Amino acid sequence: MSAGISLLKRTAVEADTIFQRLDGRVKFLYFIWATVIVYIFYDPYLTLAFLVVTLAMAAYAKVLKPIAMTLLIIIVPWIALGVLILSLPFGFPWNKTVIGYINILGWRLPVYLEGLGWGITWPLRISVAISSALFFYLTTNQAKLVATLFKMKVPFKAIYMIIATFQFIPLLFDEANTIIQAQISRGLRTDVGVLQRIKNYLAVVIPLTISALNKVQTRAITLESRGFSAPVKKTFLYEAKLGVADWIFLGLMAAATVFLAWVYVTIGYSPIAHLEWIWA
Amino acid sequence: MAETKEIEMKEISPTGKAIIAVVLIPTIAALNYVGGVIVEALKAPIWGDTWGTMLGTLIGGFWVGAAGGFLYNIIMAFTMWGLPNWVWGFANVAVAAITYFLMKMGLTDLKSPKTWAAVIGLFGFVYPAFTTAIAIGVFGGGPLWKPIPAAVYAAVLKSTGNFYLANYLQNVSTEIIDKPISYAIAVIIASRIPKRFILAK
Repeated sequence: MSAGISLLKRTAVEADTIFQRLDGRVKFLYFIWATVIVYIFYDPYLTLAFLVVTLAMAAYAKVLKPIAMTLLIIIVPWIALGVLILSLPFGFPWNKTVIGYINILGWRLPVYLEGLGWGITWPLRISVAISSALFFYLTTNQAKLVATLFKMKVPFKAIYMIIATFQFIPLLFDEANTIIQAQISRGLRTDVGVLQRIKNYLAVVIPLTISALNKVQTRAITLESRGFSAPVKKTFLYEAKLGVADWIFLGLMAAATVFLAWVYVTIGYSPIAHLEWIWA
Repeated sequence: MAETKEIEMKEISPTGKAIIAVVLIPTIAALNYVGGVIVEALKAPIWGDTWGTMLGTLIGGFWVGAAGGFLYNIIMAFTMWGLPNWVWGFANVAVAAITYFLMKMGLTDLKSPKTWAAVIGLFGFVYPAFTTAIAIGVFGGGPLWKPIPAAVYAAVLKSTGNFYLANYLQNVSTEIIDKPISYAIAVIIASRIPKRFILAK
């Protein structure tokens, strides 16, 4: 979760690369498109290719580090646990093809293809979804994000709620930190048993919530006084428009879609790894 | 003895309930997130990212809690967790629905065994069936990446060979502790906040 703290505390990275200049809708579409494609196919190699392309774009846009950190924290332990439990003879019901043996604590255990494929492919799919989502989020500043959401016909109140949540998280986090430090200075101990840890949790979240709710009233008055509910046309700091680079990026996605559709029809859902689809 | 005259105190809110709800929903979403972060910092044995949804339901009604919880999941799905995780938003809607049901049934007295029986039954056994369906349908099932549920998963899979039961019981092993504690936290906080924030009837 610590990666999440640093991640949502930061806003978009302001670098002048082609990816920062792309329209938010194009990057959002890439995020949806890449996620859907890796879910249609059941192939770890193809999924890995999508991940590599996304990470390469992220590196060019100077946002690789937070994405890589998030993947390291979420995906690597998931793959390690998933592969260990699913590919070894621990009861994964679809295991049948032995691809080798492994020695663990003197026991020679078979490694199954079905469990291995399942344990690697699913977390990799999520990796693509996470990295493409973060790529969109970290290369689109909030003014552009508002304009993008408005162009996508998201209601104005919903746009406010989304943007406000992004703003509240770092504010509340800073406040939680202050409360934790204050409680520690008043004798709150963190090296305690399970029940006491839950009581410690209450000692932090109660003042945090009361404080957050007190601010709700102030924010509501501020919004009202600035005409949030006024029945007039809203204006924006930034107008979302598609440029040449956006159309080229969209064209590349369309070409890749046609190619992948051909692969799916002629070769199948697992064109490189040739895994069998397993389901109940 | 002089007669005491009771003075009725009435809190006046300068804004409408609709605008309060609009500000309350992102606050609930942010509290869910920060709640999860504090759990990590204090190493408490729960997930801690749904009590905000429960609190939102207790003070703002079903729609405020459900929208706050759903928004939290949408934001996490669009940033840290990956797009498919947006479906967990429905788990937060289920949390809001169960909390609303408990509230409407008057089951908010934490000293009553009836409350705890209902909370453990609904959050500990019924709710995991819903999360298991999402986990298998969208994520293919498999072990969670926390040591205790992963151990439960491996043990059940090894002893029964039943993939669905293993997924369900590992979810039960986390929810049966997390959700009742989260519910208790939400009820305690809801009982201490100023009345002007209580939108739920």
